[in-house]
Amino acid sequence: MTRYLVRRLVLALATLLALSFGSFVAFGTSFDPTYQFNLCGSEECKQQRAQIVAEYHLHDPILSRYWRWLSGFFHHGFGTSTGGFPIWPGLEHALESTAELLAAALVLTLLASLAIGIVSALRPRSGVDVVLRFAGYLSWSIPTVLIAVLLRRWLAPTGIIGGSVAPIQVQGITVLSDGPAGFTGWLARFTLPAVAVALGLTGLYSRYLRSALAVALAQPHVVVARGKGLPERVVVLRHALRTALVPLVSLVSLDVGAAVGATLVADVVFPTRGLGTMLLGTLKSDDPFELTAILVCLGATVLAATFLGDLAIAALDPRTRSAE
Amino acid sequence: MSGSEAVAITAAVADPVPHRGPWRQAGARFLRRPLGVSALAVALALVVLGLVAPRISPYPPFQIWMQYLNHPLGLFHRGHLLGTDVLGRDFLAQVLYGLHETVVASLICAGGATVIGVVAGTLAGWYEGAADAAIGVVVALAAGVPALVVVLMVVLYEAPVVPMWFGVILMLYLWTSIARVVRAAVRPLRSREFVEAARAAGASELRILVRHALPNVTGPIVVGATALVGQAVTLIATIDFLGYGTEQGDKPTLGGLLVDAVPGLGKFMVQPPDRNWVIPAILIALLVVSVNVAGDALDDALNPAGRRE
Repeated sequence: MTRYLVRRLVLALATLLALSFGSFVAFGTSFDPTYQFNLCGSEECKQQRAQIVAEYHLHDPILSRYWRWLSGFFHHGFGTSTGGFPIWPGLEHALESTAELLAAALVLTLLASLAIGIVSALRPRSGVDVVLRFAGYLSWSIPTVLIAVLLRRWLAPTGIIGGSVAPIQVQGITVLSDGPAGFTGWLARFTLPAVAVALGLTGLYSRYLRSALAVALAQPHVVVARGKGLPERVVVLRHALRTALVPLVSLVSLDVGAAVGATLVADVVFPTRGLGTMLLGTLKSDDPFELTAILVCLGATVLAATFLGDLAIAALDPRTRSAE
Repeated sequence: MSGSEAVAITAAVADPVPHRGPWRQAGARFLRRPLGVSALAVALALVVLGLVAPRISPYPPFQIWMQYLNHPLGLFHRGHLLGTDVLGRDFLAQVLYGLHETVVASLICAGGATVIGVVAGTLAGWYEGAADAAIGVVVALAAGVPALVVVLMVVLYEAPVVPMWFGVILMLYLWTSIARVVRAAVRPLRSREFVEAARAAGASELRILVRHALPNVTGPIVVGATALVGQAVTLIATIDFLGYGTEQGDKPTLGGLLVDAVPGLGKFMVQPPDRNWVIPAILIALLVVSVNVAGDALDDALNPAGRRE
């Protein structure tokens, strides 16, 4: 088991490395962060441009630039953007927001899938089952971006339930506030985007859980559990659901990339100011360093979630623990 | 006694049983599913409409009627079936060109990804060792990053993209899902008796693969390909929504039209009427849902053994 987890961890780190290399090279060769200085011809602009080129070694070969970035990463993290601002503080805020949204959406997805899957599997082909399956099918098919747009348009034109994003002053600069503070503020900010992400995922996973639970309910050990007179609640929740959960969790953790993609979209549609908003903002500034930092954080989010999924499977399925 | 039995047997043998191959049987099973048939009809209609859109569009998408500038025309007017948008452009033309972009890109993506995925998945499933390991690593790498982000990155790198090129970019990422399915379906076939028999009869490896193994995995391949169309449409709509898909200056996209729904994100100073984002939204939803329903019905028809109720 430890060996398995270590192997997963090594693979995850290799993925991150490959991702950082790919994005650094792609952005570094295609984007010119000094383009705004090229537009004006004054001496001052030329000097500023030369300064940025020298500071970030923009004329060096791309491989040596990547090596400089990578070794620099272990000394001072993501460094500063070519605009002159440190990258990490803003990135940390966005990463936090995205991680919270992702966690909220995944918890919501699991709870809803469990509820729907159990109800459907216990009464296969009943009216409830048919309606739930149909609704799940629709919500899974329809793109998250569309669900998010509809929710925002109909339930929260301002993007926040029961409030608006009021501009506030921070150190003399007008910024948009995150809405009301505290837990109610958090709920107001994250409920709708989390629901938008969870709707699509629930449609998919409740279907998987329904069929996995139907298989589990037909297993001999469930028949035995019923035969020895256990209450139906215990039979379903402890004996059948336990075995049906393992494939569900492994599917969720395999597919967490799609969930993160959906989270980014919901983040753009609703003002939760996570990595999606930041990514779009940075794409306009053509800064390869900031873009690479964002992509590494995104990849790390996916890999961390997958790793947590592996741990959850190990906790649920004793066979994976004893293997190796 | 035995005489009559013999007669019965001869009769049964002589009785011309209509020969129905597996494809005919699957077709018959599919036709018994009204929902699947109608979904396939809707999907095909949308695809055909999308393919011929530039030919049947009444106007080019960028032609502007100045009299409707900031005062968009409503639905069902003579000459403008779906009215105009805030800039005074014919909205039917906008929608048709948007559908064209989505359909062309998603079909190219699904077709190309299926070919790559089948080849890679067969190699990985049939030959153990280096090929399997290499493809496994690529599939794992691809799963580690959201498809949305990678495609967005490449689209940016290659910007501006035309629909066809957009489809190729999507294809280069989405083939991994098909490869996964095909690999899992091909693997157990290696030790089946008919493969051994073909090998004993002296068939070449390539012949065994193409004539004996692959026909047995057509079900998963067809289903995976239709699922890819749905995935591709979703990704295309999303990236267009974010403003980075096909160049949107004069070529509208369905996802790009959807932006008008969100206050503050839209391109226009004047808030466009609701129909201008509801119609593209309906088209996107209709396309994805019909393709998925048709794919599921095909799945049931092609895999009668593994049918999920």
